[in-house]
Amino acid sequence: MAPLLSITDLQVHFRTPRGVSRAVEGVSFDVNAGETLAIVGESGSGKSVTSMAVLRLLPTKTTRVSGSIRFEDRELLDLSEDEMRGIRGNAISMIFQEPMTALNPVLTIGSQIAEALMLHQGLGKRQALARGTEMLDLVGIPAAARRMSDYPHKLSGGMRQRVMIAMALACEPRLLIADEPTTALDVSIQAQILELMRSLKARTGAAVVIVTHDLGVVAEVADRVAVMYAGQKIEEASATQLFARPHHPYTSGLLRAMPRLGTSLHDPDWTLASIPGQVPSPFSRQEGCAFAPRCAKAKDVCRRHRPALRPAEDGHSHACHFPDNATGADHV
Amino acid sequence: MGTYIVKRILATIPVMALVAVVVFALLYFAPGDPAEVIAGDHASPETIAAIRQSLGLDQPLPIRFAAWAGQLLQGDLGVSVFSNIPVVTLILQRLEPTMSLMVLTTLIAVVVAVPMGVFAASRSGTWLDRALMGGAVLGFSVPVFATSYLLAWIFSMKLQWLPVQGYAPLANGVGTWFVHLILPSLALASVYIALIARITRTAVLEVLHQDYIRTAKAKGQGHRTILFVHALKNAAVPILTVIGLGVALLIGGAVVTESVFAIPGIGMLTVDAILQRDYPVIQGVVLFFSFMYVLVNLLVDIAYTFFDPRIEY
Repeated sequence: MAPLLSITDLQVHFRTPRGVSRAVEGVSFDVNAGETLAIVGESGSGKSVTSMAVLRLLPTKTTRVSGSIRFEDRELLDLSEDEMRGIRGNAISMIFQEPMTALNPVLTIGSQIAEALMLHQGLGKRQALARGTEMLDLVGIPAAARRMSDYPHKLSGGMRQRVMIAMALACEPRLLIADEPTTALDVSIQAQILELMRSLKARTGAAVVIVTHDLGVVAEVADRVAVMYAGQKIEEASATQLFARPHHPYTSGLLRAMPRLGTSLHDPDWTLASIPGQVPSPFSRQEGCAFAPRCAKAKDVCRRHRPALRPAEDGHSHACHFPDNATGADHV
Repeated sequence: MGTYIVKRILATIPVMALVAVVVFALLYFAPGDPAEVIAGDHASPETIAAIRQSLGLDQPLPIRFAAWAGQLLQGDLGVSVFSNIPVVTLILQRLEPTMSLMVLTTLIAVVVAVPMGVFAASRSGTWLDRALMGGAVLGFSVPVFATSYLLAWIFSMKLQWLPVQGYAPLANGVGTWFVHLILPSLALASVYIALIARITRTAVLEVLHQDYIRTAKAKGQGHRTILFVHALKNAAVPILTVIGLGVALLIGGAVVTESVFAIPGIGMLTVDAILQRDYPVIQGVVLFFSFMYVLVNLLVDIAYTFFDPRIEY
C-alpha cells in the first residue's frame, strides 16, 4: 500500500538579507496511514520547517521549496493555492507550539472552530457551532457549550491547546501535523495533552507527524522516529529500535543527554551528558558530515565525505560512516 | 460594559471643564477690546465704558468667569455682539451643513482608506503598496484648499458635472444634497484618507505576522477572509483611534472647505466671527467643536470594546 504522505528529497531554502539559509537539505520520509512519526532534532535542525512545508505555510516570497511532497497520490508542491486551501484544515491539519498566540484573540472560540467546518464540510453556521461544541466536549473542555462564546484570553494554555486540537480534528483529517504541541505547556498538562492526542488518534485513525525536541514525548507517542540534524535526516527507525540501539552518534548523544528517573542528582558519579559545540549555521554548510565537528568518533573521511543515508536492519537507516551498535557489515 | 461606558463619560467632564477655562482665557488674553470694536471707530470713551459695563467687562476676572460658566451650564453661550442673536441659535442654524459635510467625509474616508490600507499591507513591498502609500503621502501633503479648488475646477468648471458651490438642505431631497456635498467631502476626505490608510497598513501588517494568522491559513481559510476578518479586527483599535483623532483635522478642514465651497456651516460662522471679533460667537464655536471632538473620541473608546474583547470594562 502506498504511504499516506511521501516526502522525497525535500529542500527548503530561505532568501534572507544575510544570504541563503539552507534550512532543509534533501529530506525524505514516508508516513503510513494511521501511524505516528516523530521528527526529532535541536532548534535549527529544520524539523519545523519541514512540517510547515507540507501544508505550504512558509512565506512564498522568500522561500524556495523543491523535491516532492506526495499526499494520497497528489503532488502537493504542484497544487494551486485554491486546491491547497481545500487540503489545509481538511485532509491535513496542524497544531502549533504556542497555544497562547495561535488562537485569534478577538474571535470567539466557537467561531474559530466553526470556521473549518463551514469551509470544508459545507455546514451552516448553526450546524458548525453544534459540531464545534461536540468537538470541545470531546477534547475534554468542561461546559463546552458555554466556552464556545468565550474569547481565548479566558482560557489557560492547556485549555487553549485543547481548543487547537479540537479545531485541527474538526474535519477528521487523515494526517495531523503537530509542531511541538506540548513544548509551551506545564509538565503536568503535557502528559494530559499527549494522552488526549493518543486517544483521539485511536478514535479517528489519523496519522500523526509530531515534531519535537523532547525524546520523552517521542517515547510516549511515536511508532517511528526520524532524527534530523542541520537540515538532513540522519537516522530513522522504529521508536523501540531507536531507543534500544541508536546508530548515529548524534542520536546516541541525544539519548545520553536525556535525564532519567531514578538517577540521583546527588550521586557524585552521575552527570547529565551534553553534546559539545552547536548546530552549524544554515548559511554556510560545510563539506562532509554536518555532525563531524561535534562528533567524538569523527575521522578524516567524515570531514571530507558526507555519509549517505543507508539502510540497516529492520527498516532502520542512518547516515554515518562509523555507526554505533551496528551489526554485521563493516562500514567504510 | 455599562460601568465602562459610565466611567468613560465621567472622564470627559474634567476635559470639558478644562476646555472651558482655556477658551475663556484665550479670549481674555487675546489682543483687542471687544467694547471698542462694538462701539466703532469714532466712539467717545464714555460710550466705550458704557458698553464695557453692559458686557460685564469691567468686573474682575473670576467673577466674569463664574458668570460665563454659570450661563454655559444652562446651555447659554451668550449673544452675538453683532446680530444680537443667541450663539446657540446661530450654531443650530448652521449645524446641518457642517454635520453633513463631516459625516459624509468620514464615511468616504473610512470606506476608501481601510480597504486601501489592508491591500497595501497584504501586498507590502510591491509596486501596488508603494503606489497606494505614495498616493497617501500626496493626499496628506496637498492642503485642503488646493484639493478643493482643483476638484471644483475639474468637476464643476471643466466637466460641469457638479455645482461649483453652495449647499442644499437635506429636506430638499437627498439627491441635490449629495451633489452639492460630494466635492467638498472628497476634498476634505483626501487628508483623512491618507491618515487612516497609513495607520491601517501599519496595523494590519503587524497583525499579519502573528501566529493566529498562520493558524487561520492552516485551517484553509481564504486570503480575503484572513485579511478582513482575522487581521482587520485585530488591527481595529489603532484604526479607530486615528479615526477619532482625525476629527481634529476635519474641524480645521471644515472651516477651509466651507469657505471655498460657500457652505453656510459652522466653519463659515467661525471665520466671520473671528473677522468681526464677535467674542461670544468665537467662544461658542470653539466650545462646540471641542465638545464634538470629545464626543467622537468617547464613541471611539466605547467602540473599542466591540472589536477587542480583552479591553477591561
